[in-house]
Amino acid sequence: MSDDLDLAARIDGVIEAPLYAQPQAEKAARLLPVLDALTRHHRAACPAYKRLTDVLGPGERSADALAAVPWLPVGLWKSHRLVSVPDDQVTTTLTSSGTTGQVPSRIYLDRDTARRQARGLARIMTHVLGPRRIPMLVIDHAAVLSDRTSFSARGAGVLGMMTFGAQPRFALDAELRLDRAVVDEFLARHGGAPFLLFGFTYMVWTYFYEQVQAAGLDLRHGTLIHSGGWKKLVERQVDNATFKAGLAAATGLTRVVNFYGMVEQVGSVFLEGDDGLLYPPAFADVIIRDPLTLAPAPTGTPGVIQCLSALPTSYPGHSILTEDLGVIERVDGGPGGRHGNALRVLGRLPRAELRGCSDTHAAEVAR
Amino acid sequence: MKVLCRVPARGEVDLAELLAGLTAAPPGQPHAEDVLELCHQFSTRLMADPVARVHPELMTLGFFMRKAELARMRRELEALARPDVVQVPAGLVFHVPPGNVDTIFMYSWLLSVLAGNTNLVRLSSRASPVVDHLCALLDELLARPGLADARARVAMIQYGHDDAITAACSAQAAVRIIWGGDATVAAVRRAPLPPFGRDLTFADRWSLLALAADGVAELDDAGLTRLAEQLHNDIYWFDQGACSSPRLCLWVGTAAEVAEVRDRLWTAVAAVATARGHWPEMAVRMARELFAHQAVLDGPVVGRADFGPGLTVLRVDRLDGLVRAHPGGGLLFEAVAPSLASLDRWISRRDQTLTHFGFARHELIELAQRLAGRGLDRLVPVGQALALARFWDGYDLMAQLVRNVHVVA
Repeated sequence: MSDDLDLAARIDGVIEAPLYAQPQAEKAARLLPVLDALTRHHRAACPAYKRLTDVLGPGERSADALAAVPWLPVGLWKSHRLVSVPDDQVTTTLTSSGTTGQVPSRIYLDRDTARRQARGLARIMTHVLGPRRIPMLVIDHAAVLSDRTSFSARGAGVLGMMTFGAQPRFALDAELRLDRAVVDEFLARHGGAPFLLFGFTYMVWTYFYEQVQAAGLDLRHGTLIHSGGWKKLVERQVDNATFKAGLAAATGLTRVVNFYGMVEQVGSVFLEGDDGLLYPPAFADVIIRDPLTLAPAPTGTPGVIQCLSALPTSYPGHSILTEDLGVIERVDGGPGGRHGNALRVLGRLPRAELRGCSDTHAAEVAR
Repeated sequence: MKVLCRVPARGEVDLAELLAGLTAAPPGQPHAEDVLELCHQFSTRLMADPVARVHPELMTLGFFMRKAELARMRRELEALARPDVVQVPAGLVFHVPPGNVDTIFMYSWLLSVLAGNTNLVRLSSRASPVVDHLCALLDELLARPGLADARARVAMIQYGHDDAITAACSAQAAVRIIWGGDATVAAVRRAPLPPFGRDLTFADRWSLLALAADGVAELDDAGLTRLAEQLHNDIYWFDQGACSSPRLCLWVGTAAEVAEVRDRLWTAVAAVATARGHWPEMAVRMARELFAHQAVLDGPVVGRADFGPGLTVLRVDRLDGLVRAHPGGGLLFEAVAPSLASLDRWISRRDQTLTHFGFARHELIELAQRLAGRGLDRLVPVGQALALARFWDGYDLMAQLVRNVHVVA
C-alpha cells in the first residue's frame, strides 16, 4: 500500500506543477517516472492490462522516454471492461455519448481518480478564468444532467464545468430552443462584468449561435469555453476561425477558448492557447505517431494522437492511442509563456471501406 | 414496383413487366454457341482493357472466361452426362451477390449462363466503378447481332434493400443464389421460393493456411520469393476480407524447424508488399491494432511480431479458444503443430478453405476424410485461395445449375 501512497503523492506533485511554464524536456523528465509508476500500478492491479503489456508491450521493462510508455487503443474501452480497483470502489461509470448504434466506452472511476480529475480540471480552468467563481451560463438544457449514476460524456462535462461557475443557468429549454427569459435575466444581472459560458462546440454553434444571431445579445464580457470536437461542424464547413468570427460578429464575444479532451481521460484536457493551438497541462502530454509504423512522428509531421495523463489510477488509461489525427506544430516557446507540445487536431481517422464476402449492410437491414 | 435495369441498360422499368419478359424468354441450352461467343468476346475485351490493369480482379475474371477455360468447362459438364440423361437449364436463376466484392456477380452469372439459364441479378444500390464498368461492357456486347435471345434471358437490376422486390424476384426463381454471408442469407430467405425452387447459400466462412516447415526450409531464395508472392496474393486480395482469405497460419513441424524459417518467410512476404507498393489504409492499420489488443484479451495469443506496416503475426500457443474473428488487412494468427492431424478437432463447419504448401496429396485427402464434413470445403495450393472455381462451399456449381432429365427409351 505504501507504493500506492507514494504513487498518489507523485501524481499530486505533477498536478500541482507549473501548468504550461515548463520546457518540454523538464516536463517530460518530471512526468515520465509518474507514468512509468502508473504502468507498474496497473500491471499489478488489472490482470487484463498485465496480459496486454506482457504480450504486446514491454512487460516488466521501464519506459526510458514518454514514447516508450505502453499505450492502449481507445476502442478497447468499448469492447472490454478495464478496471484497476475492486468493484466496490467504483463510484462512477462514465460512458461516451457515441452515435446511435455504437457501443459506448465505459470508464470506471473511484473516489481518488474522480478527485484528481476534478482537481486537474480546476487547475486548467482557473488558468483561464482566474481563481474567483464567476456567473455561468450553460449552453445546454438542464436535462443533460438527469442521470446521475451513469453520466453521458456531455452530462459529465457540464457537471464538471459547473464547479467553476457561480449561479449556473441553462440557456436552452427542453426543446433546445433559446430560453430567452433565462438568458435576458442572466445578462441583466451579470452581463456587465466577467461571466462564463460553457457548452459543447456543436451545441454552441447549432443551438446557440444560430438562434442568437438576430437576438442582439451583448456577450462582450463573457468567456466561452467549449469542447466536444469539430466533426459535425467540419461537415458544415465551420472551422475554429469561422466559429470565433461568427460569435464575435453576432454577440461581441471575443474570449473563446476551445479544449480537446475525451471521456477516457477526463480532467487532463488540452486547452487552446492564444495561437489557437492546444496545450497539454503539466500532468498530461501528447505524442504523434505515424499511422502506419506507429513510431513517434517528428514535430510538424501529422499522425495519430496518443494522449498521456497522470490522473487515472482506477482504470489503465494513462496512455491511450486515440482515433484522431493531429500534428505537433511547435515544441516550447508559445505565446503567453506556454511551453511544451503545441497540438493541432486534424480530425478523425477516415473510416475503412470494408471489403469481403460478407455483406456489411445486410446486418443493417436485419436491424 | 420500379427497378433500375442496368443490363440491358433500360433505365427505370416496371418489375412485373421485367419478370414477365424473363419468364417468357426462349429457353437456352447448356453451352450454346451464342453464349460461348458472348463470353469469349467479353473476356477478350476485359483482358485488353486499361481499367483492368488498375483492377487486377477484372483481369482474373477475364482469364476465367477465356475461350480455353470455357471449352474446359463444357467438357466437364459433358462428362457429367450419361446416355440416359438430357441436361437442360435449371430455369430462372436469381442471383444475390455480395455488395462488397465487385466481381462475384459476374462469376455467378457466368456459371449460370453457361448452363443456359435465364438470369436475374440483383446489384447493390451502392454504386461501384467496377460494377458500372462491367455492366456497360456486357450491355454493349449483348447489343450485337445474333444475341437477341441471350439478351432476353438476362436482367441485372439495381435496387436497395427492398423486401418487396426481393420477394417478387424470388417468387419466380428456380434457383436462388445467395452470397453475402449469414445475415444476407437470413434476410433473403424470408422471401419464399416457388415449390420447385431451391437455394444455393454462401454463409460466413473462415479460412486458413498450412505450411510444412521442412518444405519451406528447403526453398532457395527464388523459391522463397515465389512462395511469398503467392501468399501475398492470398492474404491481401480484398484486404484479407474474403471468405477464403487465410487468417490463421498453421506451421507443421517441430518448434525448432519453424523457428528457423518463419521470420524468413514473413520478411519475404513483407518485401513483396513493399515491392508492390502495397500499404495498408490508415484506418485498416488502426483497426488491426485494436483487434490485436482484443485478441490478446479474448484468446490464446502469446506473442506478436510485425513485418513492416503491412503484416502483423499473432502467435497462439493452442487452437482451442481461438475466436474466428478478424479485422482484415494484414493480420495472421500463427500456430505450430506436429502434423495436420492437429486440425482435426478444431476445424468447424465455418472453415472453408485450407490453402497449403509442402504437403503430399495423400495427407490432404486423409485430412478431408478424417474431417468427414465437419469443415473445410476446399484444400488448394498457395496462390489459389481466392480463385473462384466450380467446386465452392461444398457445391458442384456446374451440376447445381442444370436439371437432369432422365430419358429411358
